[in-house]
Amino acid sequence: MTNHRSPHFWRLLFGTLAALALSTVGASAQTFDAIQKRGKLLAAINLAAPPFGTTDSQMQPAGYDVDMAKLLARDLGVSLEIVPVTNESRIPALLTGKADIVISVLQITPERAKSVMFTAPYGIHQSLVLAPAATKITSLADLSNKRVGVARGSVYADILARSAIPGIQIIQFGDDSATLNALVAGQVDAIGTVTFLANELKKQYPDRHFEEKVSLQDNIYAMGIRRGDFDFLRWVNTFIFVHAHDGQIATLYEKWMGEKLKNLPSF
Amino acid sequence: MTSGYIFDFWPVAQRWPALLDGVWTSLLLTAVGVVGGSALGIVGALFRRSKMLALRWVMRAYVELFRNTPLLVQLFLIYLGLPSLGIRLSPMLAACLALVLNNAAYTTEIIRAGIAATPPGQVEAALSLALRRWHILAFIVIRPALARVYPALVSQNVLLMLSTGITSAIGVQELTAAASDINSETFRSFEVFLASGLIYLLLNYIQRALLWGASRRLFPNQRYWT
Amino acid sequence: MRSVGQAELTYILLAARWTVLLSLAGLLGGGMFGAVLTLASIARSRLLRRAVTVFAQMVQGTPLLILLLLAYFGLSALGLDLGALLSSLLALTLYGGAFLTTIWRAAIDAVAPGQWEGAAALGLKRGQQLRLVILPQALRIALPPTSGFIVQMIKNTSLASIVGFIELTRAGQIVSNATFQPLPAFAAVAAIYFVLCLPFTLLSEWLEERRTMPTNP
Repeated sequence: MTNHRSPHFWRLLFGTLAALALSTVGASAQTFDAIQKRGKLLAAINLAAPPFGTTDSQMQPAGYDVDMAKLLARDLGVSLEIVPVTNESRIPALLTGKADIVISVLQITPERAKSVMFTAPYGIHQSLVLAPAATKITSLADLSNKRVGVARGSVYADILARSAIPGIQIIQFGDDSATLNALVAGQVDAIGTVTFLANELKKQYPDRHFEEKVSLQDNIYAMGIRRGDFDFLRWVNTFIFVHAHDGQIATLYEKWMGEKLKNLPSF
Repeated sequence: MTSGYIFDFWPVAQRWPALLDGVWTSLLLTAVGVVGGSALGIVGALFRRSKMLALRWVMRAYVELFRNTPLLVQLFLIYLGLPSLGIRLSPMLAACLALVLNNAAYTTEIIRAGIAATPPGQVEAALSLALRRWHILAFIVIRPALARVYPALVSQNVLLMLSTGITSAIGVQELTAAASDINSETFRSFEVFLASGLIYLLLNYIQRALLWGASRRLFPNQRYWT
Repeated sequence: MRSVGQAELTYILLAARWTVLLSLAGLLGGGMFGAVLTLASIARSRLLRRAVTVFAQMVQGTPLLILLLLAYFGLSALGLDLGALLSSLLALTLYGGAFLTTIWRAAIDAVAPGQWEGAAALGLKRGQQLRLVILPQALRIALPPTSGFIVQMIKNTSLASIVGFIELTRAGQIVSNATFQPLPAFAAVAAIYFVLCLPFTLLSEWLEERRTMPTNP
């Protein structure tokens, strides 16, 4: 028995797409005023991305991004509501007004800047390659013909892909936990990760002798807000400027990343 | 003053090779899941009706375990858990195994129901005609059973295809993974979701066409609603 | 180091309430919608039967994720802000209805045509034929795939994490990333799903024994 898509299907499909295309997504450009009026800041944060978005031993939201959000809300004089998102839903949440700002270790790229407005950077960290002590890796080239695990969409995925090491097998896992545990289980030879996570892994498995092998380039990240929200952008940049200067950002950074914050580049 | 979102599919369309590679992998995973799951399902259905109590119970335990827990957990268990027993499967192999075992748990039950609905006289009549046992099993019991429950099998296998996306969690670079990467690169989440949704819809029609085409060869006399 | 302890397990357990709520809503909505669609699919009107087929296949072929996103973000973009719960309910109802009608209609089809004729010969009207003769027989065939689908539905509620629900699977991911222990975290998640899903499977098998004709050995 054959079945074919009726003409109604096509009309419905294109009608929906057209309607979406012509509709207005996103909220008013006066987000700043809206936040003040609402008395609440809506910050989209991924709570499964340690140490930026995670949960503490009481299962309360914690992490570098969370602390930044709390600081933002405090300076704005409003309360904070964390909108829990996944990496897939963080941008739609921003663009449809479910969140005012996305604080989720957003790496700054020109391509992404076409969709959202980046604030000034609020963090800069160096990523690294981690492997068991026995594995001989002294430079990126040594990753040739090795399986290297990274978290999907992370900066290390980007760096390793672009360095075009011959024969390298990059495996992108759904989140950091899967990546770390893949290394522990011996499913990958090395992983790309960040200092905090490397330290956590070393603490949990001291007998496995994991060590940092190669440092990768710096990752600079910012918060994201809707295009056109210039008032809010200016305010957040002011906020970042002030706290970069008075050391509050550096304190938070050291608390979560376990290392000193380098100078935040100007934006 | 509202800011409008302007749909821009070009960044997604531009990255079509990655999407296409993802599609091939999704199709491969689906094929393995369908074939493996169906074959194992037939075996499983027969074991579930076996006269041996131990066999029935083992199958029952397997079916309940794999049907009532999420595929993601089964995936992690196979990929991250088995290494403690010394078994290290690549992401692709682990994904295939998880999909087959998961799908087979469902198809076992579906086919079992089909077999249970075999009219009582059929087997007796076949025996009285002195047909051989394996002939009876294959053509009097299994084939009509499959024909009877084919729509349910098709639904289940389509569900399988749609669930292959979860394998991106352990690094399989299929369609959902490719879409996620493009989303990460461009932040064009709406366009990416729509595009991958449409591709899955297309794959759905292709898969159905293939499965129903197969049914016409396998069960020529069965009439169906669709 | 941090392991999956009481706070973490409690977190996961509490998250299950969303899974339960979403499943119930989806099954009730999907069940009612599916029943309507099934009746439409055996209607005399050819257009109606066709429409059900097209609709069911389109919805089944669309990943539930996309349905959820369209219901939540898509409608929001068009100005209709349903909120996370209602939009999830909408998506799950459409999804459930489409799948259930396929299963149920197939079960009705699998009942031998002679049964319809026999019932008609006994002077039963079409509605009575369906209710008294066909449905009891279709029930046996429909039960395993239906219970299979109910279980799929319960597990599919995990997708609602994308519209902000911290349900069972997402809670597992959060705990897994907080402790770096995916196996214990997800074992807890699996155990809870198991406890939620198994009753349906058992119920369906019990019903199969009681309410339907004896099967041949």
